[in-house]
Amino acid sequence: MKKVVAMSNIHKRYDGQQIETHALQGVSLEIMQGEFVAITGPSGCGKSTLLSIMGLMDSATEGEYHIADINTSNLKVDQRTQIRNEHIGYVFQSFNLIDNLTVFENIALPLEHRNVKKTQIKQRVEEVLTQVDMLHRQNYRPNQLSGGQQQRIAIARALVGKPDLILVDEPTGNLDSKNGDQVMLLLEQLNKAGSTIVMVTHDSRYSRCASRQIQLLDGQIVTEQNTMQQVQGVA
Amino acid sequence: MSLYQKAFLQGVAKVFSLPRLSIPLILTLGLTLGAVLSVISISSTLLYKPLQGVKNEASLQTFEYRFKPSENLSVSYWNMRRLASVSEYFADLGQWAGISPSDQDITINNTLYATTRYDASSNILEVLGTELLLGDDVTVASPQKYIWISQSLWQKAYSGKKSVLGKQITIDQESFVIAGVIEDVMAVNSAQEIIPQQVWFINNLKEVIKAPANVGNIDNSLDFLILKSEKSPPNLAQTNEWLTDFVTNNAQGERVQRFLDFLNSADKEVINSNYRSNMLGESESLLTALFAAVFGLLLMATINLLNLFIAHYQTRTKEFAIQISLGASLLKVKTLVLLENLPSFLLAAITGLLVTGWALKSLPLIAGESLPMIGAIGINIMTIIATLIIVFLLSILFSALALVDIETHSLANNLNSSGKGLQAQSNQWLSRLLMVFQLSIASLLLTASVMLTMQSYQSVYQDLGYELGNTYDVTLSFADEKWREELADFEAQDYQNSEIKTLLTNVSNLIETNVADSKVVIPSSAPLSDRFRISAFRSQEKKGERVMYQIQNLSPDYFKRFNIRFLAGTNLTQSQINNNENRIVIDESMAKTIYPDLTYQEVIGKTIQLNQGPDRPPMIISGIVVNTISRAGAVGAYGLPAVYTHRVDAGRDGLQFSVMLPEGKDLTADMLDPELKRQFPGLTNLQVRPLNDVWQIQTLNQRVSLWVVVTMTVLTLFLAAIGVAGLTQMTTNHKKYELAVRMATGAKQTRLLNFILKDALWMLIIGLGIGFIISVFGYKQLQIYLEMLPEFNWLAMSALDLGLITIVLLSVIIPAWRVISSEPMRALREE
Repeated sequence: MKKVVAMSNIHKRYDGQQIETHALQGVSLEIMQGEFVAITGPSGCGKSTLLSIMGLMDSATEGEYHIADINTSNLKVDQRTQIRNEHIGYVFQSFNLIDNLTVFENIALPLEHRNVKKTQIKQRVEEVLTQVDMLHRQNYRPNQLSGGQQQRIAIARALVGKPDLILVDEPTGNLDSKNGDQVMLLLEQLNKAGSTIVMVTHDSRYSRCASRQIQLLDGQIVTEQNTMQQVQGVA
Repeated sequence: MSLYQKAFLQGVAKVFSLPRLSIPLILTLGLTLGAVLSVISISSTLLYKPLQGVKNEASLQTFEYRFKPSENLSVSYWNMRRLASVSEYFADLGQWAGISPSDQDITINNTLYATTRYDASSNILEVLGTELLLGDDVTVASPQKYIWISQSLWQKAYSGKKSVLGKQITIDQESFVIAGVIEDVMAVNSAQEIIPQQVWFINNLKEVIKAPANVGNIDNSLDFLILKSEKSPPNLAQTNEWLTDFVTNNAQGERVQRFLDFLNSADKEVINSNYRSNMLGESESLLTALFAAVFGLLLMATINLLNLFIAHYQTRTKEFAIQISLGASLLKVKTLVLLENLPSFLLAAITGLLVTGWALKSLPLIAGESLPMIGAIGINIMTIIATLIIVFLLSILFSALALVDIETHSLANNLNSSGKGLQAQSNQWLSRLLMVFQLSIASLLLTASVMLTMQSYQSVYQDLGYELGNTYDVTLSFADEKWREELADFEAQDYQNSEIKTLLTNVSNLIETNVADSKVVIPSSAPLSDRFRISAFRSQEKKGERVMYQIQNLSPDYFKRFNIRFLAGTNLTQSQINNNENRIVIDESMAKTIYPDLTYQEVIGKTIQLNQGPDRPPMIISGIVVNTISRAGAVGAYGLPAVYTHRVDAGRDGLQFSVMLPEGKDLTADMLDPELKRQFPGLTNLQVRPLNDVWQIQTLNQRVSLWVVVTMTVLTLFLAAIGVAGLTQMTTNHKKYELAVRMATGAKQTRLLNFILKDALWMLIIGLGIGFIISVFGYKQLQIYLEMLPEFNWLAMSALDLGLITIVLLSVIIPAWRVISSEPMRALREE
């Protein structure tokens, strides 16, 4: 199996005016292609920070991070942007859709930034919209959709660029249980179809859907276990 | 549609959908751009446009030789006769020429044409490189009988027909034959506006040099000489040598020493410059000052808008962070922002150009006749290029700085932040820095403008030392120059029986007879005089030292009518004037000059030997009056002491009468013209103006500059105020959540206000502190380059800083109070 994520001794410190917060304290982690990893832990344990660093949204203070065999330690801003565009799909807890763009335009953004041809963009966006069952809403604006539907659009946007890694931050945090279940089902389906997913959640119900659970406490990995004793994936 | 096209169209929509951003941008930037572009248009025309009618500009120099009887008075010594002499004396240096513009009304085929009259030397076309379009060259042997007209006048009055040659024109009752047509010459240094309809009067220097030279009279009919040469014009010492030679060769006997004494008693200066600089005169330094001012305003407006943009884009930080998180490079997002702002910037540019067009059209009204080449000034290619460059650079700057809040290394902060609390304020350093910068510029700009405002105000509304009342200035010209010369030729003892005295009395009587209730207060142009006569005498009391003074006139009720106060003694009585007594009235400046140790009362009865010679008795001082200012609107009074005499002579330009009427009554030329023509056919060109109009004309430039500077001051204060208010609004909005929490937990409003004020105070202190230092040192440096700037005034500076502090504090308190006086829960819910 191919190694998608390799983190070694990752530290993250936030310098406040008077106190320094050590959010991650030497996290080392490997994620294989096709895995569905859930990162859990109490509030403030560093879950979201770890996900941000994994998604190149933030930099580690110390340590090495490889994604798809690329060392990200000394990359320039534009190089990190390019990797994010080509290798990572990120689903935010608060969806982060752009209100003045339509559903279609929101999803098309990663491909537009990659300068993909218009016909290909249309084809691919419709594909992912079908995948998340939202094709009929492609001309809607985000604020015309329910929370669950917005989350599906956010997932579709993460999928559209065929990334090596999909990072999902609290996907059910802003949803009711019905919508939360549907989103989780969708993520499971995507994982079964071959996507590598890393999900941050504090809901144990959903973390059990993942093939592997990583529990953080005070910025350190405390336990790591396979929940379903099976790994979907490609050899 | 590509993202770029979408961004542009979104920008077009934003002009209408986001007026709180687009309207300030279009208006503020448009108006300040208008100011900048107007200055650019004026400068590019004045500094770079080829001079119309002057092709030899590169090899032309101007040469001024000026007498400075006092610090504020400088008079040219040049006239055609002296030019003829200089041409011979300094012949080895190159070709010398002279040209003097003035206004001349002429009638052709019963149509009156306002023209610019050029009195010029016969080599003028060759020296300037001006083209003769038709007819004889101006170098004809006896040009006195001929005139040449300009192309525009030829087209207008004669429809461009060649038959114009040989036609006769009567000017001031003298006939001239049209000898030729010359291209329009618009680029000549002139106090009056140069208009394309022109008439040329030519002086043949070879003939002029044969005429007698009036060496003692500082006749300034030519303001400068033109030298066509690669060599340098003579220096002061060489020119003084020429003056001695000139006086020696053109005066007889003891007059040589007397004239030399007189001429050498004043300071003299030589001013050499290139032709264009001479023509631009003070306009050049005025342009530099204007450039600095409008650039400062543009900077302030830019900073304000930048703060507004940063505030706007802070609300969209998340949107851009999403774009970047999805793979858009920072450059791409900046380009998108640039395209989104482009429609507003383009509209601002169009507004700027429209304002420029309007300002340039109004320029003749604003600048009057004082700006050279005014007709050629307009929006040109340089203006349009400058517009595009400024707008493009500002667009780039704005799009670059608008995204300053995006943390490219830590996008998570932007994407996951709720916008609450301290994190949302992390990047306000830029806005604050800009505000400090803006306050510093405001302080500097205001310092200069307040000083100029004070100077202009003082020169316009200063105490003249007299009241104008309902007085009219009646002027008449002499039809015959020889008659004028005869009238001027009288001896002091014979003044009472002189022809000029009789003429003045007769014309005065005519005016009083024909205009009911009128009184000719004085048969001269006093007190608001266009005419300035100076003389000098050796003061016995000052050990023979020469004292320069101005000659003014008096009549029995002159001082009373104009409310000029006596400090000691009395005016001359009618019988003393009728007896032609050798009595004078002096002003306090003269009294202090000659008798610094005596009281005014002790000076009365003393004598002054104004003229030397056995037949020239000393003048008895009858009274002392307060100092008066004979020309309103002068930045500094001429500073020469005055002597008032009852002997009124014929002025070079004609006769002038000050006629007083009861309040509410008018005097017009029609009331006098028919009778004057009948009784005095030798007097022409009757003009009647209220003295209030004369005051208006004399103070026009200062009043215009006063209003321009006041407008600039108000605009600067306004920009500073809205800048500070905008920043406070932004700061308080950012702190809304924090403020709401504080309010919810029991903080009083005054405490919250203190909390916000503390934030603004350091900006105020640093901004004004830097501004103060730059103002004091910068202003003194500026004074070196810009003579027009008055002395630094500490009182004005302190008042100005107090004003700025008040405005800034009000700008902080008002928007802050609005936020903190709202319900705390409302703010919390909004977050």
